Amino acid sequence: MDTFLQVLAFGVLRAGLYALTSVGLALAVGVVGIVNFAHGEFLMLGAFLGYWLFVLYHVDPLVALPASAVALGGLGAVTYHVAIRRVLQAAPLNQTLLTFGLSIALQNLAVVLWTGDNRAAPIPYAHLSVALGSVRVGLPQAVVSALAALLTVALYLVLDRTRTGKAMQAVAQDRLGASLVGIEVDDAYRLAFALSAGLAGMAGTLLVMQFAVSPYMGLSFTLRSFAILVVAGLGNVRGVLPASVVLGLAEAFVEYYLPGGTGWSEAVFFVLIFAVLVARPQGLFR
Amino acid sequence: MGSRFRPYAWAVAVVAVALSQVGAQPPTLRIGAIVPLTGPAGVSGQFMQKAYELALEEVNRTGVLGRRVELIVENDRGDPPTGAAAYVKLVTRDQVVAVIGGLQSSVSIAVAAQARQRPVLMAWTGAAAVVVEQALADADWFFHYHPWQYHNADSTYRFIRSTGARTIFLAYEDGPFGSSAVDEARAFARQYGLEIVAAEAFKTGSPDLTPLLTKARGSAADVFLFVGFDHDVIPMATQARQLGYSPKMILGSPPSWPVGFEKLPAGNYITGMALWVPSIRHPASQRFVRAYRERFREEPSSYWAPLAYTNLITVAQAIQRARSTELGALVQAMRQTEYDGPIGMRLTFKRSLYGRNQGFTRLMAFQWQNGRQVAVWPEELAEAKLAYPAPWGR
Amino acid sequence: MRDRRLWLDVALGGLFVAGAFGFGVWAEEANPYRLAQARTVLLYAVLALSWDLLARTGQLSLAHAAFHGLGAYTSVLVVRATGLEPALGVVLGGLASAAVAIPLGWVTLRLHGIYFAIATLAFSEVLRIAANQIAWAGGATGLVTVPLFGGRTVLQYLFLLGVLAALMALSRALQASRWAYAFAAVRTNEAVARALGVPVVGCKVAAFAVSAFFAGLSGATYAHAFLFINPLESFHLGISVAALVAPIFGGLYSTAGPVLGAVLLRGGEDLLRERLGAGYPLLYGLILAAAILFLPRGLVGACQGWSLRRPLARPAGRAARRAVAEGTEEA
Repeated sequence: MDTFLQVLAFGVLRAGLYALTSVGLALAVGVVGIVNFAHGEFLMLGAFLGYWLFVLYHVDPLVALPASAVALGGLGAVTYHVAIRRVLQAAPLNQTLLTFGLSIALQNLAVVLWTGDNRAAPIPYAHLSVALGSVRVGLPQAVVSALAALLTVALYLVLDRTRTGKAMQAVAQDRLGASLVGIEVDDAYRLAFALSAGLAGMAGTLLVMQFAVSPYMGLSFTLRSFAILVVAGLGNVRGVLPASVVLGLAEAFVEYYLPGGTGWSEAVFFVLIFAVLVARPQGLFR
Repeated sequence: MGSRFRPYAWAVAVVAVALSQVGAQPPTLRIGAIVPLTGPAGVSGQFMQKAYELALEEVNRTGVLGRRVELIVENDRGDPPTGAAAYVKLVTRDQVVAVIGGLQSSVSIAVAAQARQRPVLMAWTGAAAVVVEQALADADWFFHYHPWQYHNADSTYRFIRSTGARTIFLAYEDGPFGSSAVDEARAFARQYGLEIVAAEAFKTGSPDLTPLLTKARGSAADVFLFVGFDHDVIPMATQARQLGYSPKMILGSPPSWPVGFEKLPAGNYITGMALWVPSIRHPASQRFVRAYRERFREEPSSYWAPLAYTNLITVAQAIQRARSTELGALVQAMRQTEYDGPIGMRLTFKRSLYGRNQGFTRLMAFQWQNGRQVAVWPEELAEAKLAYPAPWGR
Repeated sequence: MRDRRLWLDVALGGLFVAGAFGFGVWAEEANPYRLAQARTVLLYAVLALSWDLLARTGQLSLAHAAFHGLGAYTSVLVVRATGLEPALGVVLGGLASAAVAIPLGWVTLRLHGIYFAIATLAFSEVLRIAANQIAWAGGATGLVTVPLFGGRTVLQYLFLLGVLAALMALSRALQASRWAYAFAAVRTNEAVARALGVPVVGCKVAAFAVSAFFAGLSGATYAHAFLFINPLESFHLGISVAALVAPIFGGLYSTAGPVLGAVLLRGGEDLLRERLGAGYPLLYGLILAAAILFLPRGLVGACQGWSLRRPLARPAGRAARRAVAEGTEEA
């Protein structure tokens, strides 16, 4: 029973990480309708920001979060203005390729600036954990999960309760209709894209507590985020949390309870996605 | 008549002058290197490129066969077609006398396929997979510096045996790098009286290794052997501490360690296998580290640096010994190599399981102790004693 | 007039193939380096044009890595087991990919756009993980194989050129036939297409199978040219991406576009790498992004746009009809 609870906890913590890294992408897809391949690179830049702030100025990643949100949010707004805005009407393929080119460029800009090294930030509390009864919970993972929940709920609140949020939802549903009732479509898109990049940046900064920082770290998170979005239903920002929980728990249980399971957990992940798409293309949570 | 031939006369004069220039200054001796400078293996490749620069300066202080050596470095980007084309370029266009470098297995095989068509001396640093060795079993122009996978395994289990440990939990990344460590692992372990109680694969880049580590803790093995990449050792080390997982030894063998790992509290007392670490007690190694630091203002923190240095120096020496650039003579001269270089082990070329010319055959072990890689095995390179069982958290 | 356009394309295509043939024969002795590079360019061109065939039915596939890998694995395993001539193994590789594509196409029929893309991506990844676990297929370490045509680069090059020429002819013939309208209808509006009597299921599955056949052929040739396969590299996501980047860059839904894109991108990447050193991928990424911003219909689209602006050269009706046939998506 103890082990079961422990594995359950592993799954939930992992779900927190997944939700944190994909909610921004869900927003970009849901509101702007852009499948942003450079999402992982925004995350990577957020991670480097957190890394350098910690290594050079001893700023804790948690303290660096607002800086990261502002910096990456700004970069997102600029990216929207310079590039994304011009392909809103274009074929989805062209949008994909644009963000893909952007992703290559950002990745290699990071290589030129900071080399391709993997870097570790020596966060003094990274290896600590809290015991809840018989269950041990890693401190950084707990922080990540709590913040994932907080940011996601905050995002829901913004979308539902504020004028701007409602404008974003209106634009997402019907661009033309929204513009007819006087919503500044362009502003709503820009804000949504900036918010998306800012969320990716914050996620990246938090990852510094647990993982190696390198220019190549983004891609695996981008791919996983796509998968989570599919399970949630593309564009369904609200589905991200439950989808992350499903994937996190499924993986953790396969990895622990199946002999040799860690090698197969990835297959489970992709088979699940394939099955969901074929059986319920609208996603599990819609 | 005269005016009609004047242009030709000019041309002849120009050619004559050019030829006399050639006579006055012997043409350079060209060596080609194929390394990945970009892509995920680019970090190791850049270490190699810098070490080649260092070695080249040294070689050109005296020259080879009275000529200056010119090194042409080609970036294979870790892509087999690019590596294969680079070989063709070096051999046909640049007319190099030898091709050095090399890192990944797939690129090595693609390059060797071209080398079969147009053989020159191939003094190769990379690839540890035995399939590469088998594929080149008959090639006497192929000299291989890096230990093969079974050499790595042999050193690893010999070292574990020397600590007194008996049981091992093996965790490996499921790509070609990690999986090669599982082949015949049980047989090797048995040979040294060790038992692998379980072997589990994981996906490299996985952010969460806690289920794997919990399994390992349940197995109660003496040693947790972790074959993953540099970015995998960070979650492994921190999550092991979070779970309070305290085997007698955690042994990792990533191709390199992340920058800043030395400052990671969870990294203390983790043990590693490597071809070389900068701290070994060996004069040639210490000279190399000093020269590298001075020249590039950074640490040569990857073994690919001294390996590449050794690579170019020994090829240059062999050319000098051969007194010729003819392939047969070069092969003979390479076989006479006896080099006590920065790696800290003498380099000679002998037959291996399948191959004809194998260089290094042994790894060394080190332990992270208070922010330093401390060589602990074999004894002749050891700087301090291995802390065993590891005093985790103390 | 349509005939004249067809003949112009055939003439241009023929000129390209003849030029490439001449280059191959010349370069074997004179410039083997560029020949080795050109062989890789042809591999990419086959991959890119075969991807475009499928894209014409509106399917954004990321399964090309799967077909590339399947072709490679089939051929290598068959050649190992039976000692078959690699040239025949390559054909078998293509057929195996096509055979897998038919049921896959069937299952994923209902999916569109990014959903289809992610389903095919998941399919590729599942194949990779499965290949990783199968010991007799070399497991994660991979397998070494024997060379095609005894490893003679020029013969491999000419073989690939033949494959590409056949694919170009097929692609051009499709565009000249009623199938072009059927594909365009399926792409732009499936319900309408069905109502018009277009066999939607047949179109999609057939395009998938033909596309997979050539991708498998390309993968198997790759395997017997570079002699090593493993799950990580043979099913690499980068292959799928390369297959779609070239058509988008060169011009979608055309014969010339994907080929031109492959030649310029792969050849250009080599040139950038030779000239710029380690920083070149930065510029490469920027060029890709800029191409989308400034040439949204690819190079071929930009050229057509330029020639369409010359009033004497093109009667307006033709342009309109072509726009329908190509289903240009900017509305």
